[in-house]
Amino acid sequence: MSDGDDIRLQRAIPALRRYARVLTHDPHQADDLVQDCLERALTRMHQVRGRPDLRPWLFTIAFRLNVSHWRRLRHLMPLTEIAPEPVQDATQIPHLEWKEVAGAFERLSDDHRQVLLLVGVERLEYGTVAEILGVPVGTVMSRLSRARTALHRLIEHEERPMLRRVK
Amino acid sequence: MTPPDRPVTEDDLQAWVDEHLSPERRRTVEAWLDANPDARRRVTAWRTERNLLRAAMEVELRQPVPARFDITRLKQRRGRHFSIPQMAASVLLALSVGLGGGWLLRDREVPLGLASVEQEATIVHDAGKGSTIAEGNVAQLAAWGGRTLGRPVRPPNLSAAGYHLAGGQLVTTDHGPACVFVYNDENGALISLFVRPMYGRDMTSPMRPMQHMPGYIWAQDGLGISMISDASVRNLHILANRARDLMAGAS
Repeated sequence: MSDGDDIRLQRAIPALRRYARVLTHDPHQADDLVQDCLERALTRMHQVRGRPDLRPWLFTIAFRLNVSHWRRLRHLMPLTEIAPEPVQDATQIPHLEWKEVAGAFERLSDDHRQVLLLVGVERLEYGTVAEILGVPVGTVMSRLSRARTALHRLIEHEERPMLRRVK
Repeated sequence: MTPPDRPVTEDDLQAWVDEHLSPERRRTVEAWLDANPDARRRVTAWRTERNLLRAAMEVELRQPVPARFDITRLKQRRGRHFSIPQMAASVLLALSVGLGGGWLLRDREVPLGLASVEQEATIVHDAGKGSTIAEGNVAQLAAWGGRTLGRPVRPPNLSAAGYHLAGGQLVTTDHGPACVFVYNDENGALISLFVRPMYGRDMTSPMRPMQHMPGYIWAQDGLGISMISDASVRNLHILANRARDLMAGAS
């Protein structure tokens, strides 16, 4: 493996960690998943030699590992331990609106969170997202539409009690 | 090709949010949104929320990456995945340095001939799982071993069977110096090849299975040799035969 491959892999790690958190709901589990994913990736670097953006490839590995292994583990744990956690450092985000959106995002279903992250935040093409998730593009589009609708509804509903509290 | 003025769909609205529309299609969708203010409010809110989510999640990208995800380190770790490193290395060191031989076998009946090779090989295999020298030094080890053992010792090339020489170690046994070569395959399965000169007894001996470990032992041309595997290695007998043939050809 060349130094260039190493550097591109290293640079993709923050995005991989962020996706792993969306996948697992838990920062510790997420980092264990990242570790598994990187070890797997290192044995297969020949598949992506020279590819400029390694995120889609890493996300695909992470998604499959999570489906095959981590989800099974998670189901063995009591539900309280896997309650969604607020986005890391949400309290440090100065802007109230960010907090609202981040809080609402955490309450969405796994499918909706993933598609919003991959399309909206990571800015990946619809076709690329479909490959990562192993579903047709049409499914990505309908999930995206439902996810945006659900997120918007949560944010709208959150506004009202907040306004009442502030007076 | 679809005409640019085909009816606007839900997918178009998502693509508007994500800025994936072609310029022509974008004009069509904009015109449609002008005529449908409710839809425009909806997609504008989606885009705002997407931007807010991006901003909120941007924070995560700026967190320092823990040292455990350092690629250089991870690669080094992969290189030695058959390791029980430090302890085994120190045991081998004790075996190989200065203890004069025999301490491991003290208070026991010291076996002779091929039986002693078997015992030593077992000890070394157990102890040596993590103590390898770098691959580049194997030739050097073979040369050094050859000098110490008083005759050329060349590790057989087992790569055709999927086993690659991963390292080796020079050790001292009750019966003088011995060479241990370690091979592994892609799955990390491990075999060790233990080689030492025989002294007057069992100079040549047919191959037989070892008693307490998955392994085979034999002597050829005055060298006692054993091949020992992790339990996961299959066809060890065939591998041992191949090693014997290769070593016979080399000398």
